[in-house]
Amino acid sequence: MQKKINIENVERKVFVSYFSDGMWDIYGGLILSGFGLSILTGQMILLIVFIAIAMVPILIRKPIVASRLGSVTFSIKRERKTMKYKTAAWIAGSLVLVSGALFSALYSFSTLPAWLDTMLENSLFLFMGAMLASIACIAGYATAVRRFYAYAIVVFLAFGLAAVLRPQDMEGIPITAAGGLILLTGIIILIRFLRNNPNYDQEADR
Amino acid sequence: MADIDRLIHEPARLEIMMHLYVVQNADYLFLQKQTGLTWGNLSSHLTRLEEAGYVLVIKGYSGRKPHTMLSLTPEGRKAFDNYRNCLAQILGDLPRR
Repeated sequence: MQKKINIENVERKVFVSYFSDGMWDIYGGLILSGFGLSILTGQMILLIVFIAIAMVPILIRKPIVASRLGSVTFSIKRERKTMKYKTAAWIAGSLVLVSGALFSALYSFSTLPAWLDTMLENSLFLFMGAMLASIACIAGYATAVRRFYAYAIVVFLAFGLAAVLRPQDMEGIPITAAGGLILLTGIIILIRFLRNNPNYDQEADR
Repeated sequence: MADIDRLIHEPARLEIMMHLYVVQNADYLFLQKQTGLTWGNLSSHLTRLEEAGYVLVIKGYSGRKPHTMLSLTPEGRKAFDNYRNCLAQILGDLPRR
């Protein structure tokens, strides 16, 4: 048996295994899809509905993961690190919310000249895309899960494309598609996770 | 070589110690998933580590189900650090071919 023993790798492997359930992917995918669909239909209520639905996997995540992978309290160093990344993600998330609200205000009540209106909306799309991509990058860096970096690229490209498609009123399509892609990936990862990790009671029965 | 802690040196116990070293505490299921040991095997190794004072076993309940949490004692942590240093020294002193 030849096995390279590295304590840091052990810790990282353990930590990453706790993000192999796909629930955060489903959460992000649902919110992004909701945002895209709300732009497509002009119904902002859809975003609120999707955010509410997205809370479900987050709320049920802990018991599902703990019953399959076991309970663990990570080291204080890791907890501090995670808190730091969470704060950065919250700041970026807040900026997205503020820019989203600004976008809605411009969309509904704008009295600006058309060219300025379009320019502001386009830059807002790019700004929101950059912020959401930053959140995905922070998540990728904090959890060492590489697919989050891929999401960052997908999200940024989707928002960039949305800015391009804005004059044709099709800006919601790439955002919905990106959300759908992330959601689908999350569902596949979740199914694989549930298959590979039967819960404790089921396993004991075998 | 005489300084090597043989209790930790056994591969299964080394893996248990390593996983408990990088976390604050964990339960049986976590250790079983991470080490790939069977329940019986894990239990017997943990008993030996507990008897040596390296592992602290806290029996409690999660809802109505019994739930046991495990963590390294300060002695266990120190023993593991010594083991690491000892092994690094032995292997580091070997001349390269």
